[in-house]
Amino acid sequence: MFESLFSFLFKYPREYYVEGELIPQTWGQPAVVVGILLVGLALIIISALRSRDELHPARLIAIGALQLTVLCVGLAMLMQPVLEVEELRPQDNKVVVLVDTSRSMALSDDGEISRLQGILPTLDLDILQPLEESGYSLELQSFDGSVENVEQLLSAGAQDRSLITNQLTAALRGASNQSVAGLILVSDGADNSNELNELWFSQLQSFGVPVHTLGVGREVMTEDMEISAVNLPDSAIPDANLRAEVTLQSGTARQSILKVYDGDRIVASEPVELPGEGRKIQQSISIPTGDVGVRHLRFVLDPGADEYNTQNNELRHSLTVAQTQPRVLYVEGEPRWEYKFIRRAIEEAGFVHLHGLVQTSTNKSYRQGIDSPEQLENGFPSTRDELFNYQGLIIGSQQAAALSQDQIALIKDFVDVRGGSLLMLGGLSGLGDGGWQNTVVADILPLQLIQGDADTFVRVQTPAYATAAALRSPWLRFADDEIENQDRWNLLPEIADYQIVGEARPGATVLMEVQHSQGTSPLLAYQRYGRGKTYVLASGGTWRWQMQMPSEDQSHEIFWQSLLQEMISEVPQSIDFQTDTNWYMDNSRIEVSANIRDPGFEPSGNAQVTVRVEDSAGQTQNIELTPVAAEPGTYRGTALVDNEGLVQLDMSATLGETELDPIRLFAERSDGRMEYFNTAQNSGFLKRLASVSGGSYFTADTAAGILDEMRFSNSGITERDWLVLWNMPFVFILLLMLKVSEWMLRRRWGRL
Amino acid sequence: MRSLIFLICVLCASQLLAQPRSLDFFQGTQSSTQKESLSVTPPPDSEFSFVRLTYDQSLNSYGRRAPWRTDWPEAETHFLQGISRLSVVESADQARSVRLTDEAIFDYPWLYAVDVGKWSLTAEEAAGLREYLLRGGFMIVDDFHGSYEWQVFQTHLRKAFPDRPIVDIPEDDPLMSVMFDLDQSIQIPGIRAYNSGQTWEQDGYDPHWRGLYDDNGRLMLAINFNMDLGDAWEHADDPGYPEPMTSLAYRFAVNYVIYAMTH
Repeated sequence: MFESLFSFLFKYPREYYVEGELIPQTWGQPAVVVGILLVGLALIIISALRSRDELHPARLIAIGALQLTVLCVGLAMLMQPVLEVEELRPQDNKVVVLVDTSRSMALSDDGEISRLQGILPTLDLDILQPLEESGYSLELQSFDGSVENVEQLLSAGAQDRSLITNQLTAALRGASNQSVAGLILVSDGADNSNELNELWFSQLQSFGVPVHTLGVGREVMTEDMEISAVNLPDSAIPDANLRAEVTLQSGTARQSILKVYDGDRIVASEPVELPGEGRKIQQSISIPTGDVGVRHLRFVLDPGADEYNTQNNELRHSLTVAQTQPRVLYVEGEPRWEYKFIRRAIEEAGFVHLHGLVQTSTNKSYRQGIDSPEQLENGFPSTRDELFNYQGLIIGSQQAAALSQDQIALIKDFVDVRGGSLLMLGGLSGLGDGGWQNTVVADILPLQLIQGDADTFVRVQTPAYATAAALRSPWLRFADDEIENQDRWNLLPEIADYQIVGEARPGATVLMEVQHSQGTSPLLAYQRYGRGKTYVLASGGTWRWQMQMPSEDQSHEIFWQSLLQEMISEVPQSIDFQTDTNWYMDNSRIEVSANIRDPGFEPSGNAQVTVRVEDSAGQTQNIELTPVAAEPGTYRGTALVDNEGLVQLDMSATLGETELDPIRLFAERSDGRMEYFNTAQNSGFLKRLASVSGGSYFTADTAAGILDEMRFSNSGITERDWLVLWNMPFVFILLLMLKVSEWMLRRRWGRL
Repeated sequence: MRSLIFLICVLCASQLLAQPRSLDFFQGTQSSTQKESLSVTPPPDSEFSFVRLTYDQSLNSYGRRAPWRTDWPEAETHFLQGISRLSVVESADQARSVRLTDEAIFDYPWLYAVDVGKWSLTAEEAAGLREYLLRGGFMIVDDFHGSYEWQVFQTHLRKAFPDRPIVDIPEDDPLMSVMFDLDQSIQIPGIRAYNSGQTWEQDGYDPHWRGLYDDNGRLMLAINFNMDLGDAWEHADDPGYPEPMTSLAYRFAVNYVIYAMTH
């Protein structure tokens, strides 16, 4: 309606005024126009002066203004302005219409017909026919190749993957030697090519061809639930509980059950609340690793009754369970109950090998859990090789002065360079009372240590309060249920003692606090430092949680097992081997990378790294990984695996004469899966694509506007035209209205 | 008949005297601090505390005073001095005493019970002992001798652990080497036995280091059978008591403490 009215009043459609350039004068010299204007103005003034006794001055000015406006409009018409437009010549240009025929376009938005079937009438009636009638030469393409007509699109082979970037680049490249007015992309915007980046957008822009996008499909799939990602390590130790972070989303708010299968057996199950509107949430679920071997885990979200795309309710992850027990060194400067009870809690879980070094007398230490009689023979490690052999380090009630400066510097390097985790406990000789505030170790801790001579260790039983961060923490939980978790925190008995420490550092997370006469003090906190993490638990009295609660209660064990598991969970090994993902859906490229460091954890750039890849059909290939210049110690390679099924990757490496420990990983290849994920229309991508290339985004409702948009394309062969504006109806209507207004005023004031 | 009445009177009197109560009842010779140490159980003021188990005397045993307080207070005084001298364990100056029904017992993961050949545990106390040991507490029983006292001890221990076997502590158990390498073959005698020229009492001729282990192979209860380490600690300053026995008893004491705090 608006567009029609605009065209009537201004003689031409709005696009002409947007795209065209206004040339205000094509007749007469400026001096002539100015002369006429001055003469007209003089006549208006004289006329007003003659009537000055009969009309109030304000009325005279109003009449004069109307007359002056009429004079200006008249002069504008006299100047004969034109609109210069550059318009495509349809008969000389071609339009490429690229239709997404990937598997996601075969999905249904209404449960009856596919997206492709649904958009074809619009494509035919609102785009193809008008373009053809306008004289454009049309080229219709599917992702499978050229087609003659829209009917053939339905029989085009459905592609497993939406490779919009690849298809679009190919189409633009194919049309580069022709006069193309534009390209129309009909798609849901689901691109699974992994090539969507800024470089690609720059390339798209360089073609100079506007891409108009016609978005297909709903932007929110109300009935659909999806598991978008599973974050879980590729390997784990046996008989441990591994926490997986699962990303879930749903079109509408609803409840479901997340289940984890190992084969056909359910190994974990968790009710989930999905917020709806496509908002993603992270759900933690604890998975028992079981025996040594490979777990082919399937994460499955129970489908809703109205959900017909259930393919995206499942994600898989292969987990290699191997007997590699991380090692933690626990050093105490005096025998303490805390040591005993931590040791008991950890031993029961069995996921970590705890080496104890407890000073028992002035000249003696008790070594516990060591691998050989020589280990820790000289007390605390004094070389990188010895200390870096551990993943975690716990320092209890230990005087800093009992260690050399080199040993203290080694502790800092253990975190910073090796990437290990350091936990410092409170105690009679712990933290500030142990002199640690004057060492480099104080700089890496999440809590500031108090300077001064006053004792900060207090042997008073006191409650430990969980902070909001602790209650939200996915790894420090007594129960998966929020309320039960909070209740169990509240039920914990008082700890036996605490140590007053300073404020938390800016990057630290405080999980527990104590209240005392001087206020509130952090009790448990952690932060990242360098490649590793540091923790402070300013107490040596959590053992009361074990002695004060029934023997069947596992709170103390859960706390320490969770803390130790978190400490060692992300500690890098000297040899690290990984794939870019775990489940290769419609993707045959397996990118593998290895990071090789020497026992002192210095990057090794001269290693020979080979990966033997065996697919499900038994076909093998050996990939030599090449060093990455910008990342010392890193080696990369690519394996192409076409066969679906399980893929076994065995990395072997030699460093000089030394053969390093081999690492085995598993991945899975599947085809025809990816298109069932992210099925909602990605309008954001389609809009950006159009905007970057100079085109516009359309929906089925606005598709008819493509023809007008195409008319002023900067691409293709165009012709220049000058459109006369002086005779547009708006001008005459305006003049008429001005004179009628003057007449009515004069009549009202009795001065006709 | 007169003898029988006299015997009954003696038994009743000894039973009455054996009931735990305020120590003022017994004698006025101890210092007020020592009295306090056995009459209340405040929270720990040090990492390690010597805690003596208070229990009721068995009905079929008798004695001049309550058996649970045998060797008190010199035994713990010398024990704590020895621990401080031979190790870096931060130990309390004052000992404590506590019943198995007292919740305060769970603040002290180390417990000493003496003369357990005369002890008697109620069902509630037995449950407390079981819970104490299963949560991680460590207990030493000492100074009981011969088959009869063993029978009494075992009968009441079985109320707490009906099926868990009592076993000889192997020579390679960490207890025997955690700080000092200990010799299990030496019988540490009580002073009266030693003064009478022997190392044994009743028919307890051979020393036995026995124990009760938890499901993970950790010693929960150390049993000094046919021995009297309490006397060896108590008479550490007695020239009449052999010094090597005291030294050995101190070493066992240190090992018991270090073991309890590391296992």
